[in-house]
Amino acid sequence: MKQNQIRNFSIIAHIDHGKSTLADKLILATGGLEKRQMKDQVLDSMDLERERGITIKAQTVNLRYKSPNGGEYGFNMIDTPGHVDFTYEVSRSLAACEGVLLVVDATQGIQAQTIANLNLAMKHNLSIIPVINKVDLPSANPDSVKEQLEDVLQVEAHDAILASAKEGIGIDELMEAIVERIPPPVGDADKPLKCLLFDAWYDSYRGVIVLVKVVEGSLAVGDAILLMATGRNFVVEELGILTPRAKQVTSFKAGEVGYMIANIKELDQTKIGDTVTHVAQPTDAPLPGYKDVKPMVFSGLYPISGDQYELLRDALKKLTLNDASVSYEAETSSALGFGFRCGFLGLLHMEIVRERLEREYNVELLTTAPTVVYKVITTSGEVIHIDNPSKLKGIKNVDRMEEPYVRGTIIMPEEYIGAIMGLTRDRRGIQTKMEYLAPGTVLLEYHLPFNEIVLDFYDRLKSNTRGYASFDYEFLDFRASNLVKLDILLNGELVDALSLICHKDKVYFLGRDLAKKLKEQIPRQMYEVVIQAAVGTKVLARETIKALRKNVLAKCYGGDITRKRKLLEKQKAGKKKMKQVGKVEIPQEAFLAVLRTDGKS
Amino acid sequence: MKSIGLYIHIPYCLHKCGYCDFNSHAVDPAEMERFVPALLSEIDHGATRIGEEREVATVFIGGGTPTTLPPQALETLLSHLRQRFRLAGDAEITLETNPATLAPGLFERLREAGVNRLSVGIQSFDAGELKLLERVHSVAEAHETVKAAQAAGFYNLSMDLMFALPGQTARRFRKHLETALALRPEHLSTYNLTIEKNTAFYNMHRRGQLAMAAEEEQLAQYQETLGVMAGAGYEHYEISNFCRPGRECRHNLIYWNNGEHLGLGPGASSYLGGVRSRNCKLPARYIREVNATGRAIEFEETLKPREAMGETLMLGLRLLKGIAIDAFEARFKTSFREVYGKTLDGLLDQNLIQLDDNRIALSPKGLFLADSVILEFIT
Ligand SMILES: Nc1nc2c(ncn2[C@@H]2O[C@H](COP(=O)(O)OP(=O)(O)OP(=O)(O)O)[C@@H](O)[C@H]2O)c(=O)[nH]1
Ligand code: SF4
Ligand SMILES: [Mg+2]
Repeated sequence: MKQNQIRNFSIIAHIDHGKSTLADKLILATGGLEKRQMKDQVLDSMDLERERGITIKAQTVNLRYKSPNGGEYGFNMIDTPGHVDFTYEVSRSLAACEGVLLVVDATQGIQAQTIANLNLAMKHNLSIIPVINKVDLPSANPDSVKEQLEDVLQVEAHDAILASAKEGIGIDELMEAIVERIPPPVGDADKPLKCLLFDAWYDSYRGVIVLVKVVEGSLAVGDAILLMATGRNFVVEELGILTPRAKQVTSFKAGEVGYMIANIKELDQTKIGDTVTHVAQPTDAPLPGYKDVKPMVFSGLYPISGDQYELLRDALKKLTLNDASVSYEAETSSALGFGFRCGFLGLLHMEIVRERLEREYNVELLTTAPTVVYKVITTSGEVIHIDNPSKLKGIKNVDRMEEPYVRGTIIMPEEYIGAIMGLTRDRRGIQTKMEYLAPGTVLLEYHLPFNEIVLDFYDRLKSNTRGYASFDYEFLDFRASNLVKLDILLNGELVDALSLICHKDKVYFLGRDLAKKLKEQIPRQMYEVVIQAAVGTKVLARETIKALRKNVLAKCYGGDITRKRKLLEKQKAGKKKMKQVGKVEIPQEAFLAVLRTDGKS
Repeated sequence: MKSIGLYIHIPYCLHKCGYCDFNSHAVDPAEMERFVPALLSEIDHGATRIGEEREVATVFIGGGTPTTLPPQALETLLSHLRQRFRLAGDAEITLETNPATLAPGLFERLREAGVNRLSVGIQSFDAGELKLLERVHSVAEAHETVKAAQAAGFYNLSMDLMFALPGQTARRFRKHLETALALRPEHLSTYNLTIEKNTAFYNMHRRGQLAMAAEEEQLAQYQETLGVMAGAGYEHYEISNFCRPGRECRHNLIYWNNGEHLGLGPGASSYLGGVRSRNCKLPARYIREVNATGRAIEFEETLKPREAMGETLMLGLRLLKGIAIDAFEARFKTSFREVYGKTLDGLLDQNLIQLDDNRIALSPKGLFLADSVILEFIT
């Protein structure tokens, strides 16, 4: 296909604004799949994506569009996720594109991830086609969305496409706009090969499969190639495009996008953002590459029963084959035994990984409360990263501690300003911006300690605004902070897995609240359980769970002994899911109790 | 010769009590007329299930309220049982009754038909409490029922009382116990009110219209009961049961010793040859199935050794004298210590069980925590 017939674009938007549904309609309209092969959000292929109705991983498809004007075009379309945890998926996709479809829900208007993702697209200098979606809904207000696009985002919107991905409205017009308004790629096919590696995954039959966009030169089956960042050589075994079914081709020329199989055995032999070139005639100007994605939140993952440790290790190994953004490292907890400290992109990512481990690998897991990474700077100037509160123990000569800050953007109806200012004040936020996006809709920007977000910020934001606020954040910097470690003791014994780091001004309330929550979550046992929250040797709060004194079903159960036994078996199964710490049995939820504290009681 | 307990379920009551989750349905004369012949044919089938070599040591006709059936039907039932089963000469034959079904001459006829033990559902001697429980009899009828039974010659009589009712105190319950004892029953069962799913109480409780007694109150009433009954010379032989010496309910002992039993009638359960089974519960369906196939079993399971052991402990630990370890080992051909050693150590450590050479039983502390203790033996 000639370069001027190619259009490479991503679909970007806030969560749930309809990217994947729009992708469905484009696949259908171009005949990528037939009607009987379709299902809703067909590109969301993981079980978890389908169950939750969200996109987690970006998906690329190659579509063939016959324009009514007679021309024939190849569309490389990438459907991206909207959730903030997966922003990285968006940015690596954009590097392979010349344009984006910026989808905005006509009933909701601009939301936090609309802005964040648009900013990414602008950074890449991409052409933008605004698509105002869901115009079929009675509450749709496309005019106001247009105004917001122009006034707030300085996006030309008079020729925005009005669409309903659900009803198939505006799809023909959109396809023409893609041809006309997104420029074709421009690389020189005669130069040495310069190829962007923008996605990679592991397939148990084929090994590593990578997605590439040829920027300059051309790539053919049989070529000896070099992955420049990792310095590894391979031979191209197979090239092809996903339509969405895989279709083999023999070569790619500059501007083309597709998959490559090259006998790459492990995912860590590839690096997203790397430049692929020919061994014989390498390019002298590799692409700039991407910043590494760094896990933002950490949590301990422990098998509920010790004999599943090996299983968990294997599961993590396999899972990271396909999700390089998860990090893991063995750790030991005196309360929980052997487990792993894992790093995630955010809380949703953490939840999804946990669920995949449990489901796909049948490990029963106990997760400790998520924490951000703190820095300790010693008097000798050494910097130590703390991704587990227990690691603070034993560090001597602490000069100061620093905590990560993020820039948070909140968009919401103005009537909630008061409530949100209260919430962000409680969370130690510093307001840096307030702007009206439209009459009645405001954007607030804050510098917020990241640990305040990890502890249940999003749910509170939603409940304080009856679901109307959207939120986005990005990492800002580390700032010196007065931090302390809050410990929990059960019957006088410190439970390391319940320790957490928090700001000194908040520790007293948090300690009290946490002790109370634990009291609610730890069931009564046959002996008394004393819960204490302490900083160092200073006890801040104390709660007592009274011993169970009577637990006897006096009922006569006639002959239905089966029923009684089954009942007990069920109870027992629940009990087995608890973790025994010392003599005390603790249910899994208790380890996450801190997520349900409000630090205000 | 092996012996066995026989249970017959009569699934009808005049009115469903608020707390009741037994298999009990509103009386329905037309259906009951079809029910009796169906039950008789299931008895025929049941007799073939247990075979010639088992002797019936106990019969328990329960419900529901068996005395909602006409006396004539009960007589037919009893004579049919005698024809079909080999009843031991000293068989214990119990029938449950409810003061609301008291009728002149009823108890004489039952005695004549061979019933030798009567279990009367009294539950309370307080009019307000009876109303709360939705019992449809009066305090006076309770007294009359017991007196009429005794006058008819029932010298093995049991009463049921319930405690820990909303608002009840240990003092009030003590008075009920004293009233009961004044009637000189041979046996007394006291049941702690529990709230079961699919009952009127469950819904009321969920809506906040029914407050359960606090745990401390329940415990106080239970302890009160133990004191009163001991003082009156009754033996506390099972968690909820007391008797004059030698007057244990032999039929229930079969359950607690995890022995074999055959259950007939809607929802009745059986345990024969290591297999547990249960009939379908709905009377109409029961009648249909028995008429079509002679039986009405809807559930059956063969127990794995570990399950059977768990059940043996679950049931046996309810008896104050507990379980004989040699009998357990002979039955399961395994060492008790080998299977439960770690569990035993933990429980002994917490002083929840007593262990002597050959018996394991709940300790006085474990008695109040029986469910938690038993849970330790379940896998
Ligand atoms: N009424 C209406 N509903 C739509 C339209 N487009 C999408 N939806 C619905 O909006 C919801 C979200 O659609 P998706 O396509 O999954 O949204 P998304 O942007 O891909 O979401 P993420 O990938 O999670 O960011 C689904 O319930 C769709 O059925 C539309 O044009 N009209
Ligand atoms: S009398 Fe007994 S079986 Fe009948 S409804 Fe009341 S509690 Fe249930
Ligand atoms: Mg999607």
